Amino acid sequence: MKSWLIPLGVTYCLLLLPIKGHGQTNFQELPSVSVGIGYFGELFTHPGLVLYGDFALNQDQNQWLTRVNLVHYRHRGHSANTLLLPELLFRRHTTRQSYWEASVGAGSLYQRAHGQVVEFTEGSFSPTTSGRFYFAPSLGLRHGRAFQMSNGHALVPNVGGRIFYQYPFHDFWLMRAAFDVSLSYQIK
Amino acid sequence: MKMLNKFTMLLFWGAILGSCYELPVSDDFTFVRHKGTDMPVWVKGQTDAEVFLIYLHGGPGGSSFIDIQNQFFAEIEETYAVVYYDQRASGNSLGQSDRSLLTLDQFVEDLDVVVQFVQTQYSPKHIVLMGHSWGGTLGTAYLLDPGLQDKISGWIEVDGGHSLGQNAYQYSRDYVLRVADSLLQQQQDVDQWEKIKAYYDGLTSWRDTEVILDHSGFVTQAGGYFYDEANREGLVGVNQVLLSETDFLALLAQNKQVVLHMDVWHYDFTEQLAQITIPTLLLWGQADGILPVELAHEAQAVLNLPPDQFYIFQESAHSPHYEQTELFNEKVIDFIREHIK
Repeated sequence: MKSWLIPLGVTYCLLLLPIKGHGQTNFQELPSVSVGIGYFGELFTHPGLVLYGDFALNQDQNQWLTRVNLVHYRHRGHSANTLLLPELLFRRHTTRQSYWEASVGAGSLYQRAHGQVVEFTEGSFSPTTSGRFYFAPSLGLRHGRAFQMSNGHALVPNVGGRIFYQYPFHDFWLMRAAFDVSLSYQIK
Repeated sequence: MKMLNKFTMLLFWGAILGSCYELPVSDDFTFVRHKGTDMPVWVKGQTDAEVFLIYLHGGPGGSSFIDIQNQFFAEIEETYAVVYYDQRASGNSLGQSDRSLLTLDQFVEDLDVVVQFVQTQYSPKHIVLMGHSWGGTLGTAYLLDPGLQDKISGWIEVDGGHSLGQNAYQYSRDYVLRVADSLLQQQQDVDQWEKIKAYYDGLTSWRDTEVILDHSGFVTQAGGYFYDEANREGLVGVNQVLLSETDFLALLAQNKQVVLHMDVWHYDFTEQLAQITIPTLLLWGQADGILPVELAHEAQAVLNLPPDQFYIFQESAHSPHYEQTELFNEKVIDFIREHIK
């Protein structure tokens, strides 16, 4: 199976889940939706940008959410990477404003070698721009603290980390670690 | 709200700094793609020189980037071009190459692709191969193909594995046993060294993943990789893990995979070395415990090398280019100057 089909399928299911679960067809009528942007650092120092959207499935102290992340990060002199990662989250509110959340997800990583790439075929070298898709399951942990705004919405700084895998990287599972710091805008 | 403002500023400056992080990469850095793998090839030094030295890293499953970042061959680069590359499924190489391609024959084919790349890109008058440890196995196997040897002007073997067979195992085992006996005489770590000695009872070969990993650990304990254990410090630092081009997680994982799946601990090319007719230089550490110096003397005899093409570093173990860098570079430069014309 093409590995990029997996995150598309999972994304579709995760987006459908909150809508079906609440009998709603409109995101505005869901308990909460948030969007975020942040720094994503593979091994902390390989810089990237993460964009994500959250869809809450309930409004309890123990909350279930779905999230879709779009990440791009670069490893200087090595590779440029784009990760599409749908996730399921369990969020535990420790106070009215603070929470911890654990996530599990499965996505697709597109990796392209950095700089010039030449392919050797039939005795000659020709430039190529293509990279490769990898299956990328992930486990994460994150902390957030909400700051209520006058319009009832909230700004939420988040700090988190995750491990994710790249498969098949030369026929095996290659573990990667990442740190992210982000700001999300929560719409009630 | 103050905390939120600080956080927002941190995010902003983090994004700015992150976007500035992209540093220029040399035009002489290329990934060469072949049969499912992208091998990073980095050409450093004098790219208009007549002589290009292609460095074959150890392992199998090592990386040349550690040698680059520690600038072991900086003095050679002042006169010649040095080509570093990471082999299939090793170091910083990328891709989805199948495990069945982890064979010596495939690695020889990959090396020839890199040689052709250098020829195509730079048209040097001479290409010299320099193989360290497993790189010595790879280089020897390459040169034993007459059609491939014709492309190469010189060969430098550094504590190399022209033999990974029975004789290499015995020399290396004997090294560990000699150290064990010496330490037992001094009543040092008696239990530990008696257990290590007992491990070798009835063991006749290292052609087994668990054995080679255990044995390698014993060689480490016996000081067979570094003449001075203090030299180990600084070989891989925080910079290499976090800030360099090295994909350190991949390097570690790939090394493990290659060690587990490459069946190489039986090749013995000693008797065939006479077929290598190009100028050859043997460089070896006197205190090497994994590929002991006896292997160098065997190779010297078969190759019938004159004294200026054979040198033993007295204060080095497995990596004289690391432990006696200046002298090492001097020997390589002298060899190229005298023999590659």
